[in-house]
Amino acid sequence: MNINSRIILISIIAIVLINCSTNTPSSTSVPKQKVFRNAQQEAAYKIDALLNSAPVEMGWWGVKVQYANTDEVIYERNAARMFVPASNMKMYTTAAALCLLGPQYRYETDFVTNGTIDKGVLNGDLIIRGSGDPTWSRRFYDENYDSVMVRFVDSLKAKEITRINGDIIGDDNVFDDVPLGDGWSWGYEHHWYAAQISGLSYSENIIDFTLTPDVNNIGSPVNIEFHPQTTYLNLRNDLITARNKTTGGWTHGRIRETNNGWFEGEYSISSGTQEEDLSIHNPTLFTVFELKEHLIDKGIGVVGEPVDIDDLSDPIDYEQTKTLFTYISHPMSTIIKGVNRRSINFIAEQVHKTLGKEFGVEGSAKEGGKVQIALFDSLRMDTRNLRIRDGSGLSHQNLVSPNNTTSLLEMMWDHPYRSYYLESFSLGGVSGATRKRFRRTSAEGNVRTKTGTIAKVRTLSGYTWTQSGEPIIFSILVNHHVVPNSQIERIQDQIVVILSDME
Amino acid sequence: MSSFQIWNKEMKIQAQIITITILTTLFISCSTNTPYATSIPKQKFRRCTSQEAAFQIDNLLNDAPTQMGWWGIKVQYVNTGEVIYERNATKMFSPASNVKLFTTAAALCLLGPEYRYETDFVTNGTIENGILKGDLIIRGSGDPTWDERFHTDKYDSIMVHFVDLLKAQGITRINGDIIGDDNIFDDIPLGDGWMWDDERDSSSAQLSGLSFRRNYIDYKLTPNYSNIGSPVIIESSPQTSYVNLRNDLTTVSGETDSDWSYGRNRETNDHWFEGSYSTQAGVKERFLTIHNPTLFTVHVLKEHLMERGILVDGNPMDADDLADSINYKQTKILFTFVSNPMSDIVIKTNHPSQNFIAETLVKTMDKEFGGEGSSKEGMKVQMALFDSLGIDIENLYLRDGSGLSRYDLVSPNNIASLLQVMWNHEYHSYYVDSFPIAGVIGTIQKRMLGSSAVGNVHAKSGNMTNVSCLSGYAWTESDEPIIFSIMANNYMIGNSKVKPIQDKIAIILSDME
Repeated sequence: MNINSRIILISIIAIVLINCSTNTPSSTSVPKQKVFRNAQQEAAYKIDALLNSAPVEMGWWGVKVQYANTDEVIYERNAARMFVPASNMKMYTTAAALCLLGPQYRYETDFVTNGTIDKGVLNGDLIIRGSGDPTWSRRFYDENYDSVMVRFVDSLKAKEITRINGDIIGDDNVFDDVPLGDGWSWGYEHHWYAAQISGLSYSENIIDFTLTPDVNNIGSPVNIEFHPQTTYLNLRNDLITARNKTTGGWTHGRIRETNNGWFEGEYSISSGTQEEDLSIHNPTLFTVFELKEHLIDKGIGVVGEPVDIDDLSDPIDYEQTKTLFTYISHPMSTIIKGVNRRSINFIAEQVHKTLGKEFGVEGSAKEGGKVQIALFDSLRMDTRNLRIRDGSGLSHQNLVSPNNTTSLLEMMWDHPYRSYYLESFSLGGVSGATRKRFRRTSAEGNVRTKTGTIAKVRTLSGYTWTQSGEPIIFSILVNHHVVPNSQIERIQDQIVVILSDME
Repeated sequence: MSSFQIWNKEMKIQAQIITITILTTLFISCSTNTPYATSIPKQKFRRCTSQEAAFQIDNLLNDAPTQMGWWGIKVQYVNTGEVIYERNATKMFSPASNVKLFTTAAALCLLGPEYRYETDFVTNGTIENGILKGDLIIRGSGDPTWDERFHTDKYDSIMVHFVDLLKAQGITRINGDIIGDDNIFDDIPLGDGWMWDDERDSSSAQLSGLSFRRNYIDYKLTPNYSNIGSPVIIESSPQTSYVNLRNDLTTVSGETDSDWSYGRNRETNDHWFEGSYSTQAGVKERFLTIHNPTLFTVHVLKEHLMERGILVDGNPMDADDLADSINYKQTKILFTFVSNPMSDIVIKTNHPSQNFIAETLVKTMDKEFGGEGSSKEGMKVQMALFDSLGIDIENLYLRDGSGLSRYDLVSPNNIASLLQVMWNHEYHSYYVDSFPIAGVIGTIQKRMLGSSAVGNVHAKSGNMTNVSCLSGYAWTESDEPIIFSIMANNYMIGNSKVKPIQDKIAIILSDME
């Protein structure tokens, strides 16, 4: 306990001794007759009681709460200490994206050729010069997996191209070739949340599957549907439909450094239809592979092959190429919603590398981190206590303090792009990761947060408003708990409700 | 460079960090000024009482900046259990290699100090006129000792020994393949939660039922001094064609800065070095792990057989690639290789903090207690042991044997109670002997130099990004044994600045009366 909270606690105890003659059975329910000097003091007392009653299994807690308009601190505990932030890291990444790239920033991807169009035949290669655009997925196109590819095909058709004599080349050199974040676990790799990072990406570099048991044929394979439909991934389906209450269980995965995926085991008919996913290997090749399939599907003949630029013997000389069309993404204001509401690591990492590309030396995570630190430093944040190793927070090597996060939120509160920033967060009980939290409380439809979860880490930071509409900034960081996340969440939510209940 | 010079440099760095706390400490316990904190010569201190020790430790941490992160400490007398100092002792910390304290304790308790790995070299054929008509099969036992640390200082001596044993059977030619069987363990090569970008590093060497030389290769890099612009000379140990080495590392003149990198492409044995290497950089050593230890082992054995005049017609094979499983009822044992005892193995786990051996021990414990050699099950076997020993396993979260996993969480109390249990255990001396000794041996050989802790503090270090721990035993001036566990997490100041504070604490304990 630091000195400040010790002082607060001592004064609280004194006040309690003066004002309260009865024992409270449960520390978190404060009897009405207790008199506090103000709402702020009461909230601090309640939060303190809540945390004091938390057993050691609840791990390390760092809390900072302050008014947004006056900076006045309402409560703090271990506020200067360092915590692994998990996806609260995205609050930093998206703040930097807004400040530096701006809400109107759009990715621009050139589709170029080194050949000429003669009578509808493209005599040369079609080259996609990747911009790092993370939006070529269903998320940005009304849940339609194919939509963006169809647009590309239509744009080529508008040029009256009916046949491509060359290859479909993907250029991902806008970013470095490091596919995963610093210190990510090797066991994550086949999951959507560790999708590969690339200068050229499609479908967030994952494939979704719908598994449907063959209820009429026990013992036959489960039906596995691909979204998007593709032959890029070779899937071994040894997932067998089984009767209810089988104990076999099932697993799925992808052999690393390959696109060989598998499902195997026994799938109970009582499981019904389920969604699963696998990340793919080499997003660049995946994207051009998919484009070729769509081209052929829509009647444009392709003589050549999908090719990753890294496999070309000579670099492409873009002074000798001609732009066929340029594809422009949604604005950053929309992109950061994708990052923050559903906590999509892939988009966060792409944005992070984009910061490195646009403001640093190269499109690498390391440069992205340097750019962020330089920005926050210039905004007078205490960057000595800030370690940014990736853009998403999946790395266990990131470190922030509650003080850092509240000063970030404070800074963004005063920023011209405040509304874009706040809009990108989940709304309690309504949208994003907290759509099912805070229901039927004063925080419902009120609190704007970013959650964070990795092993032994559970975090929640954001903005809420008191009953009188006063905005409050809070950061609640928990590390090294050994109880289920739901128990940590309950206390975090209680703190937020205490704040939202304030006058 | 003499050890004194190293010591002097380290002390200067650390002195800057803890000057304030040191001054406080000095006022209390010492009448003369000492220039460097951890090097406080014995004679300048009067012996302190346990209360004074606690006060000094507290002072070290009370004024510490928040960049120092989270600290958890437990210090107690071994014989009475009396607590000398504690801070956050029940809280959970990432332990890093302090996990090996648990792994090696369990290995001693469950497998015993006399436990030895026994690896059968068998054949499915017959020997006729010196020709082995059939395959040579190594039935892996998980033995982690096939390296120069256990078998003289020559990289290939164990392989030479195997060849000699085959020669002793009169074998001059093998008509079949050299098959490696790793099925004593499961096929999961890395620990739970290990990092993808560390896979090339010797600390993340792959795990297998059949392994050679800790499953990594040493490279010695020497600039080509007389030929600026030509490739750096790279010597590998062991020498083997199992890895494909790409050497694009160019010698540049001493005025130019080095700018180079190296690695292994994952899931392959493609090693590479590239960039520019300044002559000023001198000779350096680097390590790269290999992929598929089983195949590596039989590949290297075949090379040694051929080199030493035993002709092999077949190929090195991983048993996983065989169409049919091997029926050992149809095979004949040529010889059985027996490893050094566990008492030696735990020393070579804890002294250098060898992840590869620690993880192998976990899989071995599962195998020996009825499992399939899985790490996950091996951890359960350990937990059952610790529970039976009276350690509170409710708040003990071990996910691997080495501590490389970020999922491991233990409290200083957990470690103190383990050390207490092991103190009273019949294998106590084997356990304590396996610990590094301050200023003398192992990972803390260059720490606490010039202090009363040298030769006294027996402790296991644990270091990785944002984590630094030191736990073990110290003895007071009157030879009273003390248990301590110091765990630091989530600091910003770097391991090199955290370690001196831990050392200071260990020295305070050694200085007790």
